[in-house]
Amino acid sequence: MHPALSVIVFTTFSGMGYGLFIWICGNILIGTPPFREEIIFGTSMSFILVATGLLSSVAHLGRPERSWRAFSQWRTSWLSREGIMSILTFGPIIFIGGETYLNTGLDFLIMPMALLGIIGAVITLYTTSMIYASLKAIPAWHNKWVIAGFQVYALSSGGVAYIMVAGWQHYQIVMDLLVFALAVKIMTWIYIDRNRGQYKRESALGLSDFGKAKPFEPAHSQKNYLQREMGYELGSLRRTVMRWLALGGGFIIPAALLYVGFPLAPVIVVICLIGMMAERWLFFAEAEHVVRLYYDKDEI
Amino acid sequence: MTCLPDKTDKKLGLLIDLDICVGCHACAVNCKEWNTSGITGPMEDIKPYGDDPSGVWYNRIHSYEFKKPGEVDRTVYFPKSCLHCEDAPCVTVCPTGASLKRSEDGIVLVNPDVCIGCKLCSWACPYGAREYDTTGGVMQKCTLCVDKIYDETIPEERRVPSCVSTCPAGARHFGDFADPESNVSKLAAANDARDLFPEMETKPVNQYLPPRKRQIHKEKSLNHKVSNVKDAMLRWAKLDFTG
Amino acid sequence: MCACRCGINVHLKDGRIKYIEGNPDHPVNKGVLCAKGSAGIMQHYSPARLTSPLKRVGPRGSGEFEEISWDEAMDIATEKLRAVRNKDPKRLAFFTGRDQSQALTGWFSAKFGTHNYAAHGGFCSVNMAAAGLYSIGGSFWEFGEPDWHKTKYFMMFGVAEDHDSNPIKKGIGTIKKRAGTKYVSINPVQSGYAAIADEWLGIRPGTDGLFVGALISELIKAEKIDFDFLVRYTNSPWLVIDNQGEANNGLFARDEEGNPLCFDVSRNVVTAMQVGKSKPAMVGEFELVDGTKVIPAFQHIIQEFLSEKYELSYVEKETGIKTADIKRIAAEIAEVAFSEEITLDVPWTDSYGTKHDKIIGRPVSFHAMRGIAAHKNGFETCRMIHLLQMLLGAIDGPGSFRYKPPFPRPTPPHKKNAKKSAAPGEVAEAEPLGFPAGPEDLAVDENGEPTRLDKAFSWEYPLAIHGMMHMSLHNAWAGDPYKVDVFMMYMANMAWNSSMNVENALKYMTDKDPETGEYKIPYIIYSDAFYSETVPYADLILPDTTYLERWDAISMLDRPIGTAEAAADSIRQPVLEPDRDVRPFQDVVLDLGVRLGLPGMVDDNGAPLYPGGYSDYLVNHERAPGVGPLSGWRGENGESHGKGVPNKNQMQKYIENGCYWEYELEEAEQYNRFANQAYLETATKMGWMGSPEPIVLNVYNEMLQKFHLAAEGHGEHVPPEHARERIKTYFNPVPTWYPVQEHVDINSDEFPLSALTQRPAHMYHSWGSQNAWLRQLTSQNYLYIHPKTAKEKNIDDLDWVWIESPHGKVKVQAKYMEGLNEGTVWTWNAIGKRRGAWALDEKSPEFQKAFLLNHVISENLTADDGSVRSNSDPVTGQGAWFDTRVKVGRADNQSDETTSPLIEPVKFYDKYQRPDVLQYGFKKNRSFDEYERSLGTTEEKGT
Ligand SMILES: Nc1nc2c(c(=O)[nH]1)N[C@H]1C(S)=C(S)[C@@H](COP(=O)(O)OP(=O)(O)OC[C@H]3O[C@@H](n4cnc5c(=O)[nH]c(N)nc54)[C@H](O)[C@@H]3O)O[C@H]1N2
Ligand SMILES: Nc1nc2c(c(=O)[nH]1)N[C@H]1C(S)=C(S)[C@@H](COP(=O)(O)OP(=O)(O)OC[C@H]3O[C@@H](n4cnc5c(=O)[nH]c(N)nc54)[C@H](O)[C@@H]3O)O[C@H]1N2
Ligand code: SF4
Ligand code: SF4
Ligand code: SF4
Ligand code: SF4
Ligand code: SF4
Ligand SMILES: [Mo]
Repeated sequence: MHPALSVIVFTTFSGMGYGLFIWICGNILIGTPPFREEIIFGTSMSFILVATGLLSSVAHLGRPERSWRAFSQWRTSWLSREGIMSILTFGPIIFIGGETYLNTGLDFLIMPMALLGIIGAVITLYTTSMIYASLKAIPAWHNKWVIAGFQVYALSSGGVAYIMVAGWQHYQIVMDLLVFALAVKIMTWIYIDRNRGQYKRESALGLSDFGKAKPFEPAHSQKNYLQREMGYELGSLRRTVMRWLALGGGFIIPAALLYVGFPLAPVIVVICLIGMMAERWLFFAEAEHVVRLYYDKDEI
Repeated sequence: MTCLPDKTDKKLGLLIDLDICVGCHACAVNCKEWNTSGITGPMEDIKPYGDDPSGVWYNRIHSYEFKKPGEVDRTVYFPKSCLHCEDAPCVTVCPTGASLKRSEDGIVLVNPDVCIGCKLCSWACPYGAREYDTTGGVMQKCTLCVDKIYDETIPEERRVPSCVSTCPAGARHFGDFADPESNVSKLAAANDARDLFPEMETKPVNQYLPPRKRQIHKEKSLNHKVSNVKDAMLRWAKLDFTG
Repeated sequence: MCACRCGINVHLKDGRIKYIEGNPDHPVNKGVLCAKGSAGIMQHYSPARLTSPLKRVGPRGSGEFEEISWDEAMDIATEKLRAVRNKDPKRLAFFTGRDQSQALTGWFSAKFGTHNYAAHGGFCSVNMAAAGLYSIGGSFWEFGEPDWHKTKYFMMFGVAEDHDSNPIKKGIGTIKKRAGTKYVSINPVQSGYAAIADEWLGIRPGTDGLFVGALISELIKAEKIDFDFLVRYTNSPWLVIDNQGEANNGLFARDEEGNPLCFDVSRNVVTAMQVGKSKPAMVGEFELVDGTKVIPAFQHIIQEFLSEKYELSYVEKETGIKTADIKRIAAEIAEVAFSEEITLDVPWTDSYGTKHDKIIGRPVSFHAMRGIAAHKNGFETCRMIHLLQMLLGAIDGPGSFRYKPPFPRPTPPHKKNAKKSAAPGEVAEAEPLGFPAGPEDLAVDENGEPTRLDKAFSWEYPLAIHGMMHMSLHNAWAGDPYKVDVFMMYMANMAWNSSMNVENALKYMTDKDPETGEYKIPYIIYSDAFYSETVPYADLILPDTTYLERWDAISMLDRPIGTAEAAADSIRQPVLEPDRDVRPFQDVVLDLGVRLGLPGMVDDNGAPLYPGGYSDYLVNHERAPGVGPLSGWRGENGESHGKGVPNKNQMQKYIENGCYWEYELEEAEQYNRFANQAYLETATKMGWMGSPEPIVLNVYNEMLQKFHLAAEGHGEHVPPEHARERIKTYFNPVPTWYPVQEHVDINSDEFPLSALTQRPAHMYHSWGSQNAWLRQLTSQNYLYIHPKTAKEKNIDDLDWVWIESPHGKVKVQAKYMEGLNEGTVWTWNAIGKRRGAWALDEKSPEFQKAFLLNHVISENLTADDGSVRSNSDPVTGQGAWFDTRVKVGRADNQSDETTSPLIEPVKFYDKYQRPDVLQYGFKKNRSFDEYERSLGTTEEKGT
């Protein structure tokens, strides 16, 4: 799949934003709430990350001015559900941040809101992951690892952000989470690498009993929308570089910096975000769409 | 509405006979010419006179060479447009309701007034049947010529999709797959019709007839009665050859 | 729009084209339309359209022009042409390409007085036409068709598209849907029609004659031939004089009345052949009363085909087709022809008075086109296919090859070619093109040297019945046999894809005479509708309309559109007014005729006879009394068909009838038309034949023997010394096969591969690339090569390679193809374009990556003995495109991904805006919802 910046920003930023928010809410729930300023800063940051992500996803649309229409099809469409959930989840984020800031006396609602916030964020992340995982036509996405990954990466990258927001007390858990996320990522790659080749061109053509098929004349001599959108061909060098960038930036370096107690948390956040963007870039670039069977791929 | 109808009254679709298609692209071009002025047109062309011409096509003709041990390689032309799937994933993923499957006849359409151009449907379709219109920012696709097949000003026998009426070889058939007595159902039943990509579980309405077995008989030869001119002269010298 | 001549309905909205569809009733296409036809909208609105007459101001080839008015353009043209006509009319060369107006342009030339006229047929498929017309009075190409509805065994040789492209596709589709019918394709390449054949034989190019000969040999040996048919309808039993070295050797023995003789076995006498009465011998040696030895023509056939030339092991080696396959196919053919014959209970009477109560058909049919024609042995190969049909009795019967009226015609047709041009200011003795019936009809001077510029009808190319356009530029440049003053072209892209050896063609047009500083071809007038590669080479451009803006006709005098069952002709009416300063070329021709005061175009006072232009001419012109360009609704009130006085409402009648006229024959007139009395009488009445004489099919061609004899020095008309050997070798009464020069000459090992082109079904020669839709399908072509052949040369799939012949080389991108004869490479024809032409961007793939094979094809060949000859069939002058031999090697530079050589660009043509994004169409004026809901109700009205 063509790795479009807008979608990469959408999923990485909102992932970190929801992860951060889960950390905030979790800490509120278990009775170790951050300081007032930290909550305000944290929820604001989470709001900005999520909003940037969503705006970026809107920028991906051909007709952004109609994006409101995307909320209508919650009965079937994961994208629609995601849209609705992300808006709903803004509620707890805004409430917790706003109430902490304004202190209107509704603070008794903060605890239930934190619970709702966690549920909302988790469901939103799930719906986001399902946008991809529901697509049978893209085997690299159509699996449980993707669903798990979206939650875990959100939590790990959000955890890094939480350290920046609320200090180092949970750094051990965040480090563990980063290592766990790293493991999930590696397992995902192993899984998708192993599962390549399950779909064959011959079956796509409905002619499995005719032997081996090889393309002769293409439908059109220049590339079309389908090839540009879904025909991304990832070179092996680039794949290796990006895999290391993703692993290093997204998990290993943040974990290592946490381990050594690197003082500048925002730097760790930025590194983590860059790493996650590399991870997400690969998420697209490595995902082969079965439509390529009609074009340049023998199997996927 | 992106809920798929439980059942459609008809299942209109195409039956494409790969045994007859010669890959002439007539169907693809006639499709473009009808539909660019049709219900979801225009179908844009990008850099039409430039270095990298491309554009929106609802129908594209691929071709493949098949190799099977012990047989002569075979060239197969393969036209492909939307299959109007019964379980159309392109419809259910659509967040806006722009993608729809008509309950009366099963035709899958995109409403260009509603589509936000999120492209998700094109990711969901395993067959590459969706085409993005960069100018309008919306998705487009084969309409099964819905604005032709119901147009009562057109003589009834011509009220078929453009690609069908134009196909010079007669490789394309149009009809109702829900009706077992229809031309397409009968042809499909009689000729081992195929679904494309059954693993995708989309239940395509369009069907393909595979190339038929080649008629190469077993060894055979004629009995020679003469083998040279001399023989022939002897044998035929005085024969009366008139009937 | 193209040579296949389909009927179309054009739907307009707001003065623009909305939709073009096949006319459902039209005899040619019955409602279907090919990709080119469907892309007509983009052809019509092409930004490469010429917009006004142009006068060259820069050097030739630069593309620098000044726009001038039609008045000025016509004045210039008239003045130039008048000067020629008054000096020596033959110094006008007029060559036209793929047009449908040859009845007009040929007639114009004759009235002008020049016989230097031809259309594209000489480099196209004249071998098909000549071999057929001289053998059976009809041919493949568009003059006949297999009986798609009844055939049970169909064999097609060397066809990628053909002119009858839609009828063939329909036909093959019909055959494929009929159980028990087998379709065999003989073609080095398994694409298009060959892809869906029941059996594909990837023959080595140029060897089909051997393969067919081997089939004939097998059938004769097994006695699987239709002796009765041969006796009745062919000249097989006619006695041929065997008198080696004498003037009558090889001619038919005839009685005093000129009747051919046979040996009657029932009476044991040599006697006049009387079909239906005689019981002729088919073999044997006999004597005439004067002691002359004679043998039946048929014996010549068996002498050829039972010779070792057609030995199967040799045939296998040359053709690449396995012995077992040849034997099997011969057996399959025999079985279908003789065990599955079709009988129709339709009584008919033959020309010899015999009444038959049934029509018998041998349902084996053949079709062939340029894959056979475009070789230097193509005339012979095609004759051999007709011989095979005759031996099987599979001509014009149910299930076999069938003529389309007005064919069959006498062998050869009675129309004579002009032998020379007219004296200054006079009209030529005959139309330029026709059918020589012997050495006496050649267009040669008293020394036996050519009188035509292209040397057609000369001793070098005696049966060049379509002329030799591919030699015309070369000869005009070389002044061989003489120079011309004006070279006029119409609808022929001679500076590019219709010339062999493009660089030379360009040189011929730009070379100057060092003495005078003038161009060697002094003045070039050209009519094109678009900014093609040839436009920049003309001195005066007369811009044509597009096909939707003018009248046209597909006349019975030209290339008929009928089917086996019916005669038909058609018109095209203008559906749009030109929005630029262009004029239909046919009108321009008639106007030139008026300005020059040519007889037939003006009356005695010099007033135009057809003031209404071409449509006026179509209705009112008479070739012979009662015979005009259009056959339908003649007679004062449209009451007569075929012949009749002009009808002023004729066009209206055509338009009311869907722009065509169709005359269906009675079933009893539809078969065995060479000797079907009822048919021949109808044909005579309709004006297709002079008289209802039967047409005897030639298994043995006496006329060719006359040329052979002339070369031996017999008779009044003998070839000059330099032509004798060639005529002796290539003029044989019995069809034969010989390898073409490139396969046997000294270069044959160095250049081991045959290089072919095929037409893409969706492109019309060079025009397709200006079409916004069609060029998206193909804007780059590859050199297809068999992986085995490629790997021997370390060529990977998609590598850039050099393809090189003894004449030139081109850098191209190679692509693997398995369904290909291993000794053959091929590519699509005319995808590569000259930079600057066709209003395409400089970076277009057509310029940068695509290529033209023509760069490595030469119009002249040097033989091992050093002599130079045209790369043409020695009998008909057919351009031998497909004899080209090449070698292929991996290019050192793989990274620039550009073809080479890149010829200097011509000046870019920018008369029209070319949008970055094109959105052709008619937007709806209501919402999708409303529109969709209205479908199927009377609310939604189409156009
Ligand atoms: N779409 C389209 N249709 C056209 C045209 C066009 O440009 N585009 N042009 C029109 C014109 S002018 C013409 S002349 C006709 C020509 O129509 P075709 O006769 O179909 O001509 P080609 O495309 O040259 O194809 C020649 C075929 O012969 C095969 N061949 C070559 N050499 C041999 C051989 O030695 N033996 C055998 N058995 N096969 C061989 C080639 O592989 C190829 O398939 O098409 C007409 N119709
Ligand atoms: N390598 C190779 N070369 C070949 C062949 C091959 O098989 N292989 N085939 C040969 C054969 S058979 C043929 S027939 C020739 C064909 O070659 P050409 O006769 O050159 O045919 P085209 O390229 O179709 O077009 C000729 C010109 O007609 C112009 N034209 C189009 N429409 C109109 C119109 O309405 N009016 C006027 N006045 N002009 C118009 C086009 O712009 C173009 O410049 O190519 C030959 N060249
Ligand atoms: S028009 Fe018919 S024969 Fe041509 S590509 Fe389409 S389906 Fe195949
Ligand atoms: S083919 Fe693709 S676009 Fe058409 S209905 Fe099926 S999934 Fe949807
Ligand atoms: S691109 Fe349009 S039709 Fe496709 S899913 Fe998005 S909104 Fe629906
Ligand atoms: S049914 Fe209509 S829209 Fe669909 S491919 Fe055919 S012509 Fe195009
Ligand atoms: S381009 Fe030729 S084959 Fe195609 S529709 Fe027109 S006339 Fe027929
Ligand atoms: Mo041609």
